[in-house]
Amino acid sequence: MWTHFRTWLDDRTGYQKMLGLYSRRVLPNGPSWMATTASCVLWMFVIELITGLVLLSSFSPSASSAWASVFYIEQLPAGSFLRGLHYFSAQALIILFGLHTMRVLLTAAFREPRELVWITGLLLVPLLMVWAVTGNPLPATQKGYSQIEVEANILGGSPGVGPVARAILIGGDDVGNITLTHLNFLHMAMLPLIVGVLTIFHIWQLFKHSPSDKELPPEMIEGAARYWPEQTVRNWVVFSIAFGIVAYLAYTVGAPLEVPADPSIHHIARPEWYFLFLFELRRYFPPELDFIATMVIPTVGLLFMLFLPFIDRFCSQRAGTILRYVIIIGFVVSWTGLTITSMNRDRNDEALQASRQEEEHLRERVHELALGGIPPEGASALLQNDPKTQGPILFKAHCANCHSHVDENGEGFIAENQTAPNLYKFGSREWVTKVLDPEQWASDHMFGNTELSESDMASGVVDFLPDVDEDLPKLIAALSAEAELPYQIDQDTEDTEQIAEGIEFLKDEEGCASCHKVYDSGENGYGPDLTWYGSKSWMRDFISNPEHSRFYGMDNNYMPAFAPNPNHPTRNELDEHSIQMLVDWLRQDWYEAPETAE
Amino acid sequence: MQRRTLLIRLCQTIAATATAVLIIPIGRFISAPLFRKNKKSSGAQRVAKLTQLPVGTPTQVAIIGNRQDGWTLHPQAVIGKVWLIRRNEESEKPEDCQVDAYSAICPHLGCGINHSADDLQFVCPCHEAVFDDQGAVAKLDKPGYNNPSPRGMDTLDCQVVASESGNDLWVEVEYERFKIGLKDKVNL
Ligand code: FES
Repeated sequence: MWTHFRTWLDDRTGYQKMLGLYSRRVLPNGPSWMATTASCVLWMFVIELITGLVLLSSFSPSASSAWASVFYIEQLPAGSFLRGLHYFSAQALIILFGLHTMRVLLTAAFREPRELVWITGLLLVPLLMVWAVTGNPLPATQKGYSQIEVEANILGGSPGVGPVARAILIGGDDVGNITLTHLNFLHMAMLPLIVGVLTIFHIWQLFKHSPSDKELPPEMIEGAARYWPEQTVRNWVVFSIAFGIVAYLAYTVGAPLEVPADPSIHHIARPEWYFLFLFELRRYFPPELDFIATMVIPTVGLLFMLFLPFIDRFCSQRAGTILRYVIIIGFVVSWTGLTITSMNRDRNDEALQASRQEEEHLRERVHELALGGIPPEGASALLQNDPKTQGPILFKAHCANCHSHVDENGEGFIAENQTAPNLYKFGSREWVTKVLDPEQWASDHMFGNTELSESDMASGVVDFLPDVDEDLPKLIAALSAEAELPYQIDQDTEDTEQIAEGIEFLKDEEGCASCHKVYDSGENGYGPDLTWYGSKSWMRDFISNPEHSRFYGMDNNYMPAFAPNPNHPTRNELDEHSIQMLVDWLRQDWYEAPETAE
Repeated sequence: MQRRTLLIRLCQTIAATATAVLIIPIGRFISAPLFRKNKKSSGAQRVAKLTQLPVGTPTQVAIIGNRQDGWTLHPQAVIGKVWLIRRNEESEKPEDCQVDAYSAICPHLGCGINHSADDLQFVCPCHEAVFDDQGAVAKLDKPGYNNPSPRGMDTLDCQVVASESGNDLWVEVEYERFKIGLKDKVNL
């Protein structure tokens, strides 16, 4: 049945003759391990195509959704593995391609009549590079954006068509939506087409110039090894080792997915390892001659290599061999040297390492947040709207001059001029306890350095608190419960009764309410309003304008108003969103991944 | 023979027309980014209160504006970063306050310039372009060091103004972008 079908098909297509030309070919010199590189490159290329095609089915090339769709791919069954295969086989392809080129050089297989095999093969080098370069930024990570930006600028700096090519590639002022669609187009349509056509031409030429059986004397054919399966088995053994490594890396390490693109993240751009040598090379050129390193040297190098078959013709046997060895050794040595120098420099660069580490934290956080759902604005909104991320940045910029924020272990921000209280766990029971303890109240950590240290509050606490005495914990619980702190919620619900009693102490017109407003008791104008003290809205209003009569009133000379003009947002130091981030951070009110029960 | 030539001409015309009908729009479509008009700078913008700036030490501030990204408009997004250096202690009369503003975009290849507190210089982390506190191209004390930047940091128009209430002094910056990689500062 099967044989039947094959004959039927062969009668119409003649495929067996076509295949046989190659596969049944005898190998007069026997099969060789050296010759396996070509096949490895080809099959690695096929792996790229297949995994790329599958990934394409779930990828969305837009600035707001690219990262999210890649994250989604990572969550799909086998998604992470497939993406890992795509990522690592690309790198394996580059390595194998390099080995293959060296092998061809070594055996001088570019000689007549195979010049075109050599030339089409070499033309694949820049194409593969562009292929990698256009692929890396596709997940719209900050790293990818920075890389393509620098690469586009290098392109733009080259004379002639450079600026035009750059403008078309980027498609706007900055890397963004249009850049992604353009990169996607290049990576997934244009390059596969061009590389595909070149590869087919390359292989066709190879077929054409392989010695045919008919050219050999019959005694050589007799008993000689054939391509199929003697050579093929060698090819596939080597390929399976390479593919095995790729699959192992894909399974255990996986492809990275860095922080989503966000201009507020400062990423120090570095090229991928396979381009580091060019990155290093340019260091040795002054700025006017920059393009020599990035453009001239690679182009001249490539041109020289393209013409090698013709140059070789003028060389004697010996000179040709020397030339080829010089090229191989020269390239390997300089590539390795430059790459290692560059890597070492980066490893010893503390600023770079610190920034990488910071990014790593952000990456972990963004993955955690993304599991909770990515909003329509895209993944970069996750960090922008995350108090845990934004809070410390804002606090450092706007608050840390006067306020510390130091936890029990002494970690956090220490104010430069500590003139105001430590805000760690503001509004919590611990914090309120300190407020109501005259000694702590007057310490540097609380109000000791403010003008409040000598206010009526200091004496009020001393005068009034003894009356409360053993009911003090209730008062503390009640005041702290006003904040409705998320981390205290269990305690608060447990102590509902005590809190209800404590409120009555708070409202005592002889006590707290003699100076503070507490719900319907007391009046504003003296001390801050204690109703909902430390809650979201209280803190927002307080930071916006402590001069408001609800708080310090016109007596305020302690704290600047960060948003006193609700109707003119541009006249405020902080916008609504930033204040909200600060408040939520101080209240430790942020998303935490639910603990996975294990 | 006449007839054949005519037929050939006809075929050629058809092919040429069809090609043109495709090529011209494709060319225009692809080259669209080249003919995009650059919008003018959005004018001076308040970026920081004067009191937020320490004297002599550069402070980085973000420029907020509308960012058009292809088909998406991001209102109120970060569109740039600027280094501000307050030059004197003056904090009464806005005219006498001196603040300089420099774009944080490296003129070399467009990375973000950092400020190193240790050696009081601006340093670009990408290829180690170094600038002094006036934004001028500086040297690094290292054998074989080449400063890759073709020009100094790009200065931006900057002034100190009093707030409406007259209580605060604000720093205003007019944010612009310039072509990178050139010796001269050319508007984008
Ligand atoms: S981009 Fe700043 S030194 Fe190269």
